[in-house]
Amino acid sequence: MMRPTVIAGLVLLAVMVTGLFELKYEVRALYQERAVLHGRIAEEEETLRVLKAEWSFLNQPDRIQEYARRYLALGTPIVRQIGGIDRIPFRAPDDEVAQAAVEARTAR
Amino acid sequence: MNGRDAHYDRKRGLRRLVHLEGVAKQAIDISHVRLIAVAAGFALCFVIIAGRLIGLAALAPANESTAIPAEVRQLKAERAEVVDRNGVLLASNVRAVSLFANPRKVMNADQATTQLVSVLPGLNRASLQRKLSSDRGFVWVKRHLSPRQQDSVNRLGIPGLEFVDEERRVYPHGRLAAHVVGFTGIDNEGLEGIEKGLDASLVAGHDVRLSIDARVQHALRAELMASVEEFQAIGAAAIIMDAHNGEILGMVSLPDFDPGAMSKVSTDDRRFNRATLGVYEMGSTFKAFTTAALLESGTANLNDTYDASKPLHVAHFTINDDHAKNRWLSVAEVFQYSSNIGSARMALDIGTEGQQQFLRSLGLLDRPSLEIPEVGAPDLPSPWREISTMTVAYGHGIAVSPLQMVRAYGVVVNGGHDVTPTLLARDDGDRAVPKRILSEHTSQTMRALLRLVVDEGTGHQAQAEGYLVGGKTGTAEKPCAGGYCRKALLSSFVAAFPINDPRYVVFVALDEPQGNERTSNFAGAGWTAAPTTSRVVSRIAPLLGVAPTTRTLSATADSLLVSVRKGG
Repeated sequence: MMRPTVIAGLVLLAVMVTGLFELKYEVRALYQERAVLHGRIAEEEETLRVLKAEWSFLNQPDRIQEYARRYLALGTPIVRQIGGIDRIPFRAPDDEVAQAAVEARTAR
Repeated sequence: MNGRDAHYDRKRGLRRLVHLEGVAKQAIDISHVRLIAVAAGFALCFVIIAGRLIGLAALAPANESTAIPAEVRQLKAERAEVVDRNGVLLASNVRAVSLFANPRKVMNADQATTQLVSVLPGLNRASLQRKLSSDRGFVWVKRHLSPRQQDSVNRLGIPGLEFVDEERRVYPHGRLAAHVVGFTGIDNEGLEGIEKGLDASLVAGHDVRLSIDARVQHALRAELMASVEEFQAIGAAAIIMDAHNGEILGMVSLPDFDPGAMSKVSTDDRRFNRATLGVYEMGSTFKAFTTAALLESGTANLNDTYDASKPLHVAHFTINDDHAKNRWLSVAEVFQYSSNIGSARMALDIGTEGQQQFLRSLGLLDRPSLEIPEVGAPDLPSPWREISTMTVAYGHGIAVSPLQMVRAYGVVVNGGHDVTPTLLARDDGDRAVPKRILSEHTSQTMRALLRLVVDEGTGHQAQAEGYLVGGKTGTAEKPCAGGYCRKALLSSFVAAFPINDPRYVVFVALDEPQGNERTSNFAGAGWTAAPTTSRVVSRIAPLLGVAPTTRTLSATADSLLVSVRKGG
């Protein structure tokens, strides 16, 4: 009567010991993987910080102003160029536009 | 042995056996029970372990993620960032490598020194040699190396030298907001500006969002630099403040410095913050407070007149007018023509106590508070005699900082509400109901008077096309040994725009400007600070979303003047 219990117990023990070891190694592997990932995240964050600082550096108004002056055919906006949306007239209806286009063509 | 004996023996043996059996049975029973108990105990333990194993294997991933890993927390612990109101990065950290040595392990200090100096220019040879030959276990060789420098030191292969990763503070916008942001020392400890004022919060990892707008700051600084150049001034200061919530959108002090190249506190003039730490006798800009105090006290209205027909003699002093009209002037005219005599007489009507009380309510008599430590306390007349009351009326004998001026003007023009200048961006939600300091009516009258000065007074050159600017000039002679210097001026202009409903207050001051051909050699505020203000307003108004108005200047002035001349 004792023997099946003992055998069952031993089998259970063996299974559990194996399971425990498996789990332990798995945990260790995961832990290492986590450390690697955290290292990579830290690196990425550092890179992000450097890029953000560089972006900010390149966006210095002084610098952009100088490039705008050198490469763009744009001047300083004057007051007359600033206005509200209500000052822009509505577009003429399509048939009128088409009519005007036809007239322009025939006139030429 | 015969049968009986055997029987006897057997019987005795039996009897003995039975007896023995009783004892043994007892012992066996006890051990049996113990065995079961122990087995049950073990079984229980194994069941618990098995259960825990199953639990860990099956359920662990779900509850593991709740804990914050140590590494992540460590990343957050570095010094926080400083950004402007729109999130433009003004101060951050990058990783930098520093080189240190263990002199006990350095075998040939002379040779090591020679090699290091050859790859790291800027090292002091003598002091490095002394450090490397010392008997200490740790000396810094050089902090914050570039990757190339690190590589070349590595190639030398000198034993006893080691690298360590450090965080280095960087300021991507350089000089742009130098006096606001401040700078840190070599160990990232805040030394000036916000870096010092909010050091604890930055160290704790809380990012700081300033009220400064980098674009406004740039426009302000560029225009101020142009004026310093044009008028050969020794310095300049400017502040732009939101008159309603006190947010400082731009603050410049010239000359300035590159915070990335700073590491020590010193008395260098470039580090001196003229906008908040410097206190100056402001001159005529103070007349706005005298006029407002008079109107507020109710002792006079705009049409009451004061005798400005001849200089005023008090004790050993003579009070003169720069733009003398030599007649009786109304309160409005005293302001418009910037009459010292009239202002002094007005102050006498207000009285010393009334004047002090009014100036204190505008924050002009106490050291203001701001998020940076470089904040100067005003210089007050002591004792405050009657003559002090008269000179303070036109801004002499009292020295205050530009920061105090923008706050006081903010209150005067914003409808009379108290306003506290701040360098931190405010949420619209946390605006408490502000304390009333002036009546709405007085504030409106002051707006009209300020517009009058720009429209047909000393501030004419502050006009900006399309924007309604109101303001007051202030030209003060700087104190010299034994009196005032005729040639050393502080020319300032305080403006508010749009003056019909002021949203922003602009202060511009030039320290010792020199007149030039264009200004017919005048260096007064109307010729120097006023046109600077005009350019600043024209540049920043579109950035701040202030729509240009098509209302013609004279029409506006007329409607305002009508109210002024009616006795407002």
